[in-house]
Amino acid sequence: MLDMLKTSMRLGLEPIIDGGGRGLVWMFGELVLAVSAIVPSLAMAFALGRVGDWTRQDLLFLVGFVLTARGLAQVVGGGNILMISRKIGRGQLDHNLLQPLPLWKSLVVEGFGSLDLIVSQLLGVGCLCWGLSYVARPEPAWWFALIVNIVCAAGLVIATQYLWGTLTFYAPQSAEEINTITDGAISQLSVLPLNGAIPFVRAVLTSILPAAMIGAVPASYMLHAYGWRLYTMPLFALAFGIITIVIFRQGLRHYGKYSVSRYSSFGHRR
Amino acid sequence: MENTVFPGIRASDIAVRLDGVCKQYKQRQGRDDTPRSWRNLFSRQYKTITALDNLDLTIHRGETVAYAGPNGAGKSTTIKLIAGLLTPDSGTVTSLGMNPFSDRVRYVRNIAVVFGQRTELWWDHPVSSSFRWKKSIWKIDDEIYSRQIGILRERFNLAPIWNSLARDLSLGQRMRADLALALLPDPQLLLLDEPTLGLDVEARMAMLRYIRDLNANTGLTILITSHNTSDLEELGQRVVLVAQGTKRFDGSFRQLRAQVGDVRDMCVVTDSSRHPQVPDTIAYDRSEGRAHYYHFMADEHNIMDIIDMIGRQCRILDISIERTSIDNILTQLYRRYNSA
Repeated sequence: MLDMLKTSMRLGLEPIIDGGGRGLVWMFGELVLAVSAIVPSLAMAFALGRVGDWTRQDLLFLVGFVLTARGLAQVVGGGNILMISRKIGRGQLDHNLLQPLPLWKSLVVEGFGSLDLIVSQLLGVGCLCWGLSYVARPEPAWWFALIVNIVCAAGLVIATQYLWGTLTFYAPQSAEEINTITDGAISQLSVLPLNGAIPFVRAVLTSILPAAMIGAVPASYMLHAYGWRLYTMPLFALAFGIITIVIFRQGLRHYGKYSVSRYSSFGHRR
Repeated sequence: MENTVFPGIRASDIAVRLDGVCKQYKQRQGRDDTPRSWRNLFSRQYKTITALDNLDLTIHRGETVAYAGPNGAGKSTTIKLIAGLLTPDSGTVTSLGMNPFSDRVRYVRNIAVVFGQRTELWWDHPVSSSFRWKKSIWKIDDEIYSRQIGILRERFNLAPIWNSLARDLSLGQRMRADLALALLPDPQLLLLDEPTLGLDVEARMAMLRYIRDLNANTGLTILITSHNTSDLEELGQRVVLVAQGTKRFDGSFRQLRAQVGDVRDMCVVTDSSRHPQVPDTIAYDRSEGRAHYYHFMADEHNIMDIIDMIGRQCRILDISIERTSIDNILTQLYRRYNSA
């Protein structure tokens, strides 16, 4: 597995090393996208000083938490691996199924080490460190919980994309770009606190489109909770992940029965 | 172990076997009546398409089998079933002694699949990177990799494109690289689905040459589909013809030609644009200016008598008679199947 990841990483870095300015332009584009996603939250934090019970420092921590989690998800989700609906809808999943690897491993290897990773990670870790300099607690248990929460939030990002991407097995054409929509929703909504949201919106953001469970909820627990409550989001992520696996496997069975009759080489293999 | 179904052939000699395989698809139907199309929201209409209907097929190790049929005959479905990408509705698929779908991970290590118009190459990377990637995923030993690369680079003339980006290659070069990449892990079975699709004449001939040499030099089992049946005739020792999901013919190309008899195509150029009258047993096809086209069975007519008859009606400026193309034979057979 390590050898495969190394090869994938090398392929991911090749455009930077051999591609002249092309890789740098790509990274700059990713940086602009990442910054634009967090600007509303940061602008709000710095302009208003606080939003509800969220202080400026809390909001900074929230943004850093989300960016780090999303960056971590990108570690294995480069190319179109996080946008699985594109792969399925374009008939490109066949390429993965023709590799002598379990599907999950094939996807992890293919998505590992893309250029997006470097940008998102640098920005995310930078913001997180800045936020932590204000809100971090000294106890080792808190730091451990923080790491578990970030890893689980990353897992939740992936699970959300795959849960919605499953729709593409049944409607390849209509749902091909559904992950673009869910990714956009997650990136924009997860950096916002839940204050003032009506119950219906709260329900949606903590269930089928769990943007709040990736950002506001775990960040809030990390700031204010103690003991086992620090692990509320990881438990949710575990349940969400299991449900996603069951539903995605169901979709795969449908794919094995009907396949996808369309094929597009667009975006295949970065 | 002796095979009971095919006496004289051991079970281990069989590479692929399909027994009574059926596969159907549901195709959604739209309504052409626009004011009532909103009804699609509540009650959708589906049409059942039978891609394969009780198909039996056996391919022996070392064979090159040409798999032919009109569009929608079930060729790609068969390839996907053998590749382990689809499951049959009923019947069994066994390839290299495994179930391609349930033993997928172990099975695909031993096969290679090349789809025309699809590429396994990494698009924005040099061709060599895709080979390095495959080495790592297939866990190919360094020594075997070096040996295979040496053979493939020479056989497929990869040296000029080895460091070129995949996206910069012509379609012919890309297919060449794709075929070489598929063969890197030294597979036992090669599935080629329309490998010559979109290639120009030169690239097509080169591709056919590579495939022919491959079977001759390595004894690799090859199943190839193509809409271009003359390509298949170039390659196949054996042809399997499917139409409407059913196997219609399984034998050599010589036997296939015998299905419709020894048909000849004749083109007569005369000094008149009116086509000369010939006996009813000779089929008049068309006229293009002063060139007139006919088909007839060679064993039913004396060619000199035909020429004499035409010569009495007009002046013959040129004449050519040749064995009819395999495409014409298949067109006749498809018509026969459709009418049946």
